[in-house]
Amino acid sequence: MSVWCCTVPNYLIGLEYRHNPKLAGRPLALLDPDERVLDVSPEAWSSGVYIGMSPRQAQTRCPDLLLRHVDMTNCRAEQSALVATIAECGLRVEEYGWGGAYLDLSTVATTSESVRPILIEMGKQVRHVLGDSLRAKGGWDTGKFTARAAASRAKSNSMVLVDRNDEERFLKPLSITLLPLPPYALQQLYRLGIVTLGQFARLPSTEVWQRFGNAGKVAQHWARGRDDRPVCSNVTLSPGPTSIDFDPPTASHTSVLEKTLSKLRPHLLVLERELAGCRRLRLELKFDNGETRVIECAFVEPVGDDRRLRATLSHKFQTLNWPAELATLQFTLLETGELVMRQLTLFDMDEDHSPLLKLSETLHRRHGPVFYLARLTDEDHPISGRRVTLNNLSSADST
Amino acid sequence: MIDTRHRADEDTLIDTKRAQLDSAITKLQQRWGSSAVLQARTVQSRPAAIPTGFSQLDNILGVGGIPVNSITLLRGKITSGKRTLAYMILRHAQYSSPDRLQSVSILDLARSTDYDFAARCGIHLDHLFISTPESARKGIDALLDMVRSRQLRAILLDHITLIQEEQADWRYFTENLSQLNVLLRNSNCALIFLDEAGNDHARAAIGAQIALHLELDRERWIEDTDEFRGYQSRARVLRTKRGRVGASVTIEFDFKNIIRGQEIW
Repeated sequence: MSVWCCTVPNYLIGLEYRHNPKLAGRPLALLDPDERVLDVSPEAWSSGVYIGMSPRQAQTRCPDLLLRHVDMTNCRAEQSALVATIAECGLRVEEYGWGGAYLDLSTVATTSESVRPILIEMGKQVRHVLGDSLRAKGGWDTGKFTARAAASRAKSNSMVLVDRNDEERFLKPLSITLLPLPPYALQQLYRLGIVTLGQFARLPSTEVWQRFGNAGKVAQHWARGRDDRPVCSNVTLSPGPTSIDFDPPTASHTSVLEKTLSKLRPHLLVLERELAGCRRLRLELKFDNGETRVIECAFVEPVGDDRRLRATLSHKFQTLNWPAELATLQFTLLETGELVMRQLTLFDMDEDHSPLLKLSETLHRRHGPVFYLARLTDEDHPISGRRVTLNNLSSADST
Repeated sequence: MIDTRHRADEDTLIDTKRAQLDSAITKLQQRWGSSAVLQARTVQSRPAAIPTGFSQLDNILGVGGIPVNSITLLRGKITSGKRTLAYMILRHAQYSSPDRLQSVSILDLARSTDYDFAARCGIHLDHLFISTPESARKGIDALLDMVRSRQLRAILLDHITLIQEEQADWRYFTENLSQLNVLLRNSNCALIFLDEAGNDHARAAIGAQIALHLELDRERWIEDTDEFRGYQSRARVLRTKRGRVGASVTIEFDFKNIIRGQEIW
């Protein structure tokens, strides 16, 4: 295989700057339709605003923060223009997140020497489409993951080509957070002292499989530079629609939500094992009086855990006008996609975890298990104290 | 003419001396490593203070915030803003390094800390080390070890009134204060004690070991139409090594956006 990965860091922020140049240099955060921070400018990031925060949290961290709703129509149009430019050469192109795409060069060139002139030309075209406000990075390798890792290491408006023989050496010192593993898996790896792809690749495969399941196995293959996933120009579709009958019919949002999630969870788990998530979901609700309502959930980035899905569905159910009690619900996973890693922010944050873990290891031997790390688990709980869980740093228990 | 020639000679001499100095420094660095000899202007000093988030308050403190490597006492009545101010200092301590987040700690003797509120004050919970010791005495031991570890940028002891409940614990605490100060000197850590207003016994006992003593007093509630929007407090410096003793400033705590501090003069 021969894959080129093109990414544009801070793509959505760059698009906002392009339309409103006065915003440049000011702390800016873009909100997705679910009222979550989707992208932040470097100025906002330095004030402690991160992707996934609520607007309230973000403004608390940075009182001067400018919040803007992302213009999805415009962003999609720009994304399509970018993908169309890359696809002009007639090769297969697969979108990857915002401002990212894979190009399959297997039929044209397979060595770094032969691929270089083609990619230089492609780079020029991409730069022409993006203009001055956005800067692309490129990476090339024989697999998608290494190509993406190479792109993440490249400087703006340049690219890194990795030879097949150099793959292991190139990946070895990179952070494991380049792998889109779920946070608990990354945390476990960190506690085990495994912080680089090289360390992860050297672990015994059976133990990785036992501890982290199929997702860990796939991730380890990637960390070893073995990623044989093809570049797919079409989206992956899951098996047909799934129906849930409510007998007797119900009007309780909670019970409908829980039952839907319980049916959706196995599908998400299957996707998660392949480090993929749900991008578009369609729900068809048939009510007792014969009326039908359709809900379409489009996620800006693929969703891998049911927490985000729960929040979205809960919101959709509450804002929907229910004409009668619900008799049947049918859901279809319309579109799936590769999970997007939070490379830079997650990398920095996880790097900083180690002093606390080391400190607790030292102290708990003398003082016992009295050291904790707080996590916001239920931000909307009416009782303030219940919004946070204390995780014991010296054991896996939580109070 | 003579003057110009004399100046030119002087310049040549200075250039020669500078070249000799550079050559000597290079030789020393080659032999003993690049950090063996450094020019004074290239050495960057670490910030000696952690900002409070209120620029007027930072100004009257003399060093631009609460001093690092020493003890700060925040004292005030309930809803005077002492705990909120302490959380804001912890938040600033976390962001005091330009390249990475620093770790801070809360020694929660009362076990009543609202971590959701702490998060809303801007503290990054992933970098907050929480300790809930079984007794005050164990808490003091843990505090000494935490300072000794040199891995924390700020530690909040919440609060010292609980240590006073047992006389033996209080004696142990006061006996260890001087050791705590010695450990703090090289720790790059700021230690903050919270205390209730009117606890003069504590102040008298630990006063000599405190580098900064701030007294907070709520002045008035801020009302907006028919609801409370926040409150104003007066922060007064009762003891300091750098600033002016007796200086005071009014600070405003706004409930909107949960907590946002701003100066009103």
